[in-house]
Parts: sequence; C-alpha cells; structure tokens
Amino acid sequence: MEDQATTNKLDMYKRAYEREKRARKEAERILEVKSRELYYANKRLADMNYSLEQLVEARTKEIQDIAKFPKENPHPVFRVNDQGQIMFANEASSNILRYFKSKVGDSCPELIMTIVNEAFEAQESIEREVAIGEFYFSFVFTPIQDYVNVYGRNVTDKRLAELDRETLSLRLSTLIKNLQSAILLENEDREIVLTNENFCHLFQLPTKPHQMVGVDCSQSAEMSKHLFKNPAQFVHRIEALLKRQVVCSNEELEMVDGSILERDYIPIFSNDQYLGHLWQYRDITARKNSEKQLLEAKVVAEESVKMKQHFIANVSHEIRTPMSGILGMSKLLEGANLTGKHHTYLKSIQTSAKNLLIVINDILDFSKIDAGKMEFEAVGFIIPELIQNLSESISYKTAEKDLSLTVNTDSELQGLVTIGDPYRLNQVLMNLVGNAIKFTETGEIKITAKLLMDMPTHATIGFSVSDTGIGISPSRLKKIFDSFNQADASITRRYGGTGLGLPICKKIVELQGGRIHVESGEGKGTTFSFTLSFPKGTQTDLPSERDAETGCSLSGYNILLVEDNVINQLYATAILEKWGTNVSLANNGQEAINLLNQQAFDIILMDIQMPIMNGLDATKYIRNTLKLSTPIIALTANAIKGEAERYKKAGMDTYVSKPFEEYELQKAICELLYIDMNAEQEMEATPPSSEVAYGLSKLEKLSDGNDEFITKMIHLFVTETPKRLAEIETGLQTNNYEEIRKTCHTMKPSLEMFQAEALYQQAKKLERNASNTANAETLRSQISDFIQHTSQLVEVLKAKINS
Amino acid sequence: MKGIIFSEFLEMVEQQFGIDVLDHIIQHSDLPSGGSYTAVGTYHHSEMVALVISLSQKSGISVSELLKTYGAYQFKRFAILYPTFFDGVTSAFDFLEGLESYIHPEVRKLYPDAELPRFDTQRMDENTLQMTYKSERHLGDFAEGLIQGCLSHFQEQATISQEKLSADEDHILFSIIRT
Repeated sequence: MEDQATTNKLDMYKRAYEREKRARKEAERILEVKSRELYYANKRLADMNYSLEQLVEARTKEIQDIAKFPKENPHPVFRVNDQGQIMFANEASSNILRYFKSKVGDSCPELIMTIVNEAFEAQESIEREVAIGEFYFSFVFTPIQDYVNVYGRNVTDKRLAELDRETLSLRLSTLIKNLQSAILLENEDREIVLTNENFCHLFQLPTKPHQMVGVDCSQSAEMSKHLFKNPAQFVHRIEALLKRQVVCSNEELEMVDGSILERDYIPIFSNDQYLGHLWQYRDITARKNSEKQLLEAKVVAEESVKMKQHFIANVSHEIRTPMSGILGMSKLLEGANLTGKHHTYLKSIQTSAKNLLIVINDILDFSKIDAGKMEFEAVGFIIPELIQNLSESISYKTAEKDLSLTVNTDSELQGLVTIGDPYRLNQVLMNLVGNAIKFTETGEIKITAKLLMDMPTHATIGFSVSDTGIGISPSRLKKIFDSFNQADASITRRYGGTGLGLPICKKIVELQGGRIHVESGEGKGTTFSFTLSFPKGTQTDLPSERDAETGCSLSGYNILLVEDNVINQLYATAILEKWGTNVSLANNGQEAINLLNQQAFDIILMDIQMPIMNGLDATKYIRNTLKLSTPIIALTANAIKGEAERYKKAGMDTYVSKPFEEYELQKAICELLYIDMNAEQEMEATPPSSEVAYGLSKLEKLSDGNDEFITKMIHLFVTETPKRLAEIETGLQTNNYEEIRKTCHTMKPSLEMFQAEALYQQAKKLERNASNTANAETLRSQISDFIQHTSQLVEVLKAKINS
Repeated sequence: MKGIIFSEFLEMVEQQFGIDVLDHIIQHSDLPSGGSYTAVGTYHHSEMVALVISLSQKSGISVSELLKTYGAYQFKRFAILYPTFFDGVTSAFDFLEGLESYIHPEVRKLYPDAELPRFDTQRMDENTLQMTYKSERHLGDFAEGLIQGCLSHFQEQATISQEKLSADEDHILFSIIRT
C-alpha cells in the first residue's frame, strides 16, 4: 500500500515535472518566436527611424531655406501687424526703414501705415507706388489675419526712365509742333500717330493736329491729290514708297499753286519689325527760287570772269606790243648822238615806260592770282646768292637816297640748295625792298634771311625786310595787305604805285604755304617778314653757272628772227647785231620756212601772232615737215603763263615775254646753246688788254643820266677799292683765305656796276676757290693778278674823274 | 486566454489545496494542453472552465466562490508582477477607473491578441463607484475577486454587489461602496 502510494506520488510528480517541462519548452518556443518578431520589429524600427531621420533632416533644411527666403530676398519684404508694429523686415528693407529712422519692433512709418490700413480694410492685396527719399518703390500689401505682408521692389530706375521718357516726349512733341516742316507720323495700320500744325495747313485740312490722331490715312492720298500738279503721279508714288519701305528723302513735288515741296519718307523699324512711317514735307519754294537766281548769277559771274581774263590777256598783249616798241626804240636811241637834254628826256621816257610795265605786270600777276592761275617753278637756287644779286641790282637806288643797305643771311644758308621759284621770291623781296626804299628818307634798309628749321628734306627760311622809314599807323596796318588799299590815298599821290604790290606779295607767299606779316609804327620804321618752306636739293639741282651769270659770247651765230612788227624787228635786230650775231629776217612763218629751206640757223626767234602763217603753225611745220631741231624761242606778248604750255606743245623750246630786256633774251639764247658756249669759253684766251676794261652805261642807266651821281660812285670806288685790295694783300700774307674770300665777295657788286667784266669774273673765281688751299701756288698767282689788274682799273678811273 | 491566468491559477491550487488536488483536477479535466501552461502562452478559455469545475467538484467549493478567491489572489500577483501600474495610484477607485484608459491599453501593447473584458466606470459619489463588466467569458465572479483584491491592496473596505444586466451574465454592473 505504501509502495502503491509512493508509486502514485512519484507518478504525480513525474506528471507535474512533465507539465513544467512542456510549459518551459512552450515558453521557450514562444520566446524564440517573440524574440524573432522583436528582432524584426527592431530592425524595422531602426530602418524607419533612419528614414525618418533623413526625412526630418531634409525637412529641417527645407524649413531653414524657406525661413531664409524672405531674409535673402533682394527686394524689401516686411510685415506690419494690426497694432502698427513692424514684426519682420529683411535686409533689403533696412534702407527704407533707415530713411524713416525706424527698425523692427518700432511703429510702422505713417506713410506706409496708411496703406497697411487700407489693405486691412480691403482684405485683399493692393499695390501702391511710394516715393521714399530719392527712390521709388512699388509695394504689394497683402493682408493675412492680423498682419500685412509688404513685398516691395525698387522701381527708381524704371520711374526715372519714365520721367525721362515723359520729358523727352514733351520735348519731341514741342519740337514737332514748332518744326518748319509738315510732319505726319503713321503707324503700321496707316493710322495717324502724330502730326503738326504745318501739316494741316499745307494740306488745307480744317482741323487741329490733335484731332487727327487715330484717323485712317489709307484714302488721304486720293483726297489731297488735287493739290498737286501731277495728281496721278503723287498717288502712285506714295503707294510705291509704302510698298518698298525704303527711306527716300528730298523728293520734289510741284503743287498746283506753283509752290514746290520737298518730301521725305522714312519707314520706322524696330528689330526688323515695321512699325509705321514718317512723312515730312517742306516748302522749298523760296529756296528753289533763290537757287535758280544763284545759278543764273553764277553763270553770269563765270562768264564775266572768263571775259575779264580774256580782256586782260588781250590788254596785256595790246599794251606790251607798243611798250616793247617804246622801250626798244628808246634803247636804240641811246646809241644815237644826243644832246644832254635829249638824253635826259630819253631816260625819262625809258623810266616811265618801265614803271608802266611794272604796273601792267602787277595787274597781270594780280589777275593770275585772282583766277587761280599763278604757277610756281621748282628749280634749285641758293638763297644768299639770290639776295646778294637782288641787293646789288638795287644798290644804286639806296645809294641815290644815301641809305645804307645791309644784307644779313645765315651762314648755314650759304651752301644750302633750295628748290622753289627764285623769280617769285625775288619778286616778293624786290617789292618789299622797293617799298622800303620808297618810304625811307634816312637810315638803313636791312634784308635778312634766317634758317628757322632744318629738316632732312625741307628747310624753313625766315625772310625780313626792315627799314627806318615813316612807318605805318596801326589802323592802316590792318589793311596793308588788302587789294587796292595803299596805306593812304595821299601816299598814292606822293609815292605812286598800284597798291597791288603787297597783296601780290602776300598771295605769292601764301600760295607757297608761307606766312607774311608786318610790324610797324608811325615814325618807327617797318619790318615785313615772311617764312617759306623749301624742299632741299643738291648741287646738281642748280642750273648751270652760266644761267645765273649772263655774258656768254654769241658772236658769229646765225639767228633767224621771225617778226611782223617793224619796230620790234628794229629793236631785236639792233640787240642781236650788237652781240655780233648774223641776223636774218622773216616777216611771217611762211617766209621763215622759205629761208630755212635755203639755209641752216643756230637759233630761231619766233613771234606768235603774225599774218599769213603764225608762229605756232610755223613751228609745227619746222618740226614735223622740215624735221629741223633748231632751237626755237617764242617771242610773245601773251604774258599769261598757261600759254607757255601751248608753245612747248607746238615744239618751241622756251619763250621770252615782250617787251624783253636784253639779258632776258641773251639768257634764253645762251641756255639753249649752252653746251657749245661752255666749251668755247674754256678755250677762249682772254687778252690782257681787256682785263681792265670797264663801262659806265650801267651806271648811267641806274642814275638816269645823273652825272653827279656817276662821279660820286666813281669816287667811292677809287677810295674804297684800294682798302679792299690791302685786305686781300694781308690775307695773302697771313694765309687767311677766308678773309680773301669775303673781300672778293664784297667787291663783286662794285666791279659789276662798273662793268669790269673780266675783274668781276676773277673776283668770282677767287671767291669760289679761296677756300680750296690745295692748289695754293695757282691761287696765289691768281690773287696777285687780280690785285694788279684792279689797281690798274682804279688808276684809270682816277684819271677819268680828274680829267 | 492569457497563459498567466492558467499558470497563476495552478499556482494558487497548489498552494491552497496541495499538489495532489492540482494533479487530480488536471487528470480529471479534458485539457488539450495537457495542463501544461506558460505565462507567455495563450490557451482556450474552456480549459479554465474545465479546471474550475474539476476543482469545485473535488473541493466542494462553489465555482463562483473559487473564481472570486482566484480573482483576489490574481490581483495580488499582478501587484507583484507589474508594480509600475501602481505608480502614483493611491486608491482602489482611482485604479479601477484607470483600468480601461490606462492598464488595458498597456496590456494590448504587450499582447495584441489578448481578449480583454471591458470595464466602464462611473463615480456616483465619493465612496460609490459603479462599474460595468462586459465579457463573453462570463467571468463576472473572477472580476469581483479582482475588485476585492484591488480593495485589499489599497487596504480599503467596501461592499461589492453584482447586478446582472443580461441573462447570460456577460454584462454585469458592479456597485462598489466604500465603508
């Protein structure tokens, strides 16, 4: 029993144990399931947590960005609550708030608060433009519950541009209203945008311009065509212009009432988009009429200028021909056996004739300048030589008035070859010096030339001529260069002259690119100065030595003179025979040809205007048919320079204007025969007897037969020359060749004056060679010869005045 | 029905009636689980009914009395097992009132599949609390035992009366009057 109970007890515990074990296992199973669930739940939770974190982070950033949005807004943004307090204001608002001395938390400025209240009342967004200081802002006020958000924008630039546009528009419309032309501006639909009073008036429209705005213009051409002379063309043209859309200006239209309109059509494009067009009409009737009158006047003027030129050419011919007669004949008379009284009359005739010639030449020059026909040579020359020659040729005049004549040229100019027109330069200087002498009673005349600018290719020279004369008053000084305007009418009476000299000088200087001016005061003398620029040349640009110096020997040459005028024949023949030439005479071109068929000539002097056959035709025949190359010199009274071209074209070599000076003709002939002459001279042996040859004719000519003057000049020569010779002697002893050179140079003019040709040439040679000490022995003997011969001349002249 | 109700019941039977009675009622109840329970498991409530009926037959104590006793015992165990539910709670009424709003939601968090009875409370006056019980398990007596346990825990004295609001005892009104 006990065992049974124990067994039962044991079974019971076994069962309890089994139950506990099963429960534990079940619990473990459940726990495992739950753990797994927990694990996955945790994992899901972690994942969810991660993605949530991400989401939160992104959202946070987004929120922060959004929060920054209004802060970083470049436009002002601020918020005002219903208590009138500024709750928020971004950076861009600070300027506005600063202007009102306000900040976040303060009361809203009244100006803005008024609109805030308006927005509260309206309960919807309102937009307002507000001027704050010098700026303009456009604000949108948006009410939200108990506050108003204000979004602003600075519209100052836009507003100012608008104001500018308004001003511009006002100005433009004022301009258009007041424009002389009739204006019509149409848009692309041909509706009037703008027009003006003038337009209404011109097209006889009974309305005001502003009433025309918006009016359709498509029928306007038809409606106004009756105003035009050619209505159909008017309409057609307008249609064509509108179709082409190309600017068309200054079209002329004739109206029925005789007036003339000028029309512009201007299409308006903006970025290739056609936006309409502008019509502009101008009444040019008055202008047209005056243009017509001007044109007529111009034709008349041109004709009259042509006539004037023609007249001058003719007159100059007409005057020169008898003048050359007068001069020629009086020259011939010089050789006749005349009484002293007649001799004086003759000199008077010659002087008058020469003066008249100067007047004519002045007038001719002036008309050439006037007609723009003044031409300039371009030859090489040396300025100091030119001035020296000039002073020499004028020295008798200064001597006459007991004035001293000083020449002062820069030493640098000595070897400088300039290229230009020496004859015109000479003319200017001659004129100025002539004036100086004319208006100076005592004192000196000074000619200077200074090298102002020395460039590689050009040199600018300043020339001046000053005197110690009566001077010119300031008021007259102003007009001194005006044509026909002498300093005083009384001066014309007292001193003579055409009053053209200075205007001609001015023109000659200016046409060569120079400037001339004058300084003077009454009683203080006068200085004329001018500048000229010349291209630089070399020795080879200089004409041969002989050109400058006359005096070639023409003895034995056969010369054919073709001239119809008997007086001219006589004059020319007399001169030519004096030179020892053989002269054959032909009365016209035909006779010349006949002679040329029989005989050869060294040179032909050919008049232009001749009966039967004129000089040009004869020259053409000689060149083209006879095929002769004999040099031909035209003798012409047609002094207009342009003529020279015609002569050269015909085959002539050069020309000499009648009336001519002997030397001019001689120069021309020598030039043409130069090469032969040169060779001859080299061979020519100068007989010693001629060394002291001299002549007084030049002096007589200069003095106009005043014997006292001649005696005075001789006296001067015989006292001064020994002093010069003594200087040369000293120079020779001390080997101071420069001194010798200078002295020879100074002596040249007086030797020339006394026509001591051989001595003059010697002096010249010495001047040239004295610097060349290479051949000292030859030089020394030349100098000795010169001293000896000159002393002889002094003795001869001494004897003459003593006799 | 949660395993803790079974395991605590068997624990109580063993303590109060001895291991022989425990063995006996398990042997004499037709239990699909074989009487092996774990607190974390879930078992069909018919096994509890079978166990209580077996115990009643063996002990001669009525099923109603057994369930009340077990309810009081179970509450004591809960107080030991889940002390956090009692934090800051100072009276039995407060606890009972917080049952539906606090404790049951917490239980559901741990055991989403738990089939819990529903308790609605109404404080009639300072010392009277009316509480309705709704459950398909018909364990009104077990609920009264729990209420009794709660009162004991807070050392309060009260009379508990039951009023059946439905015929099959699934809806019961408890009136708890503190004395």
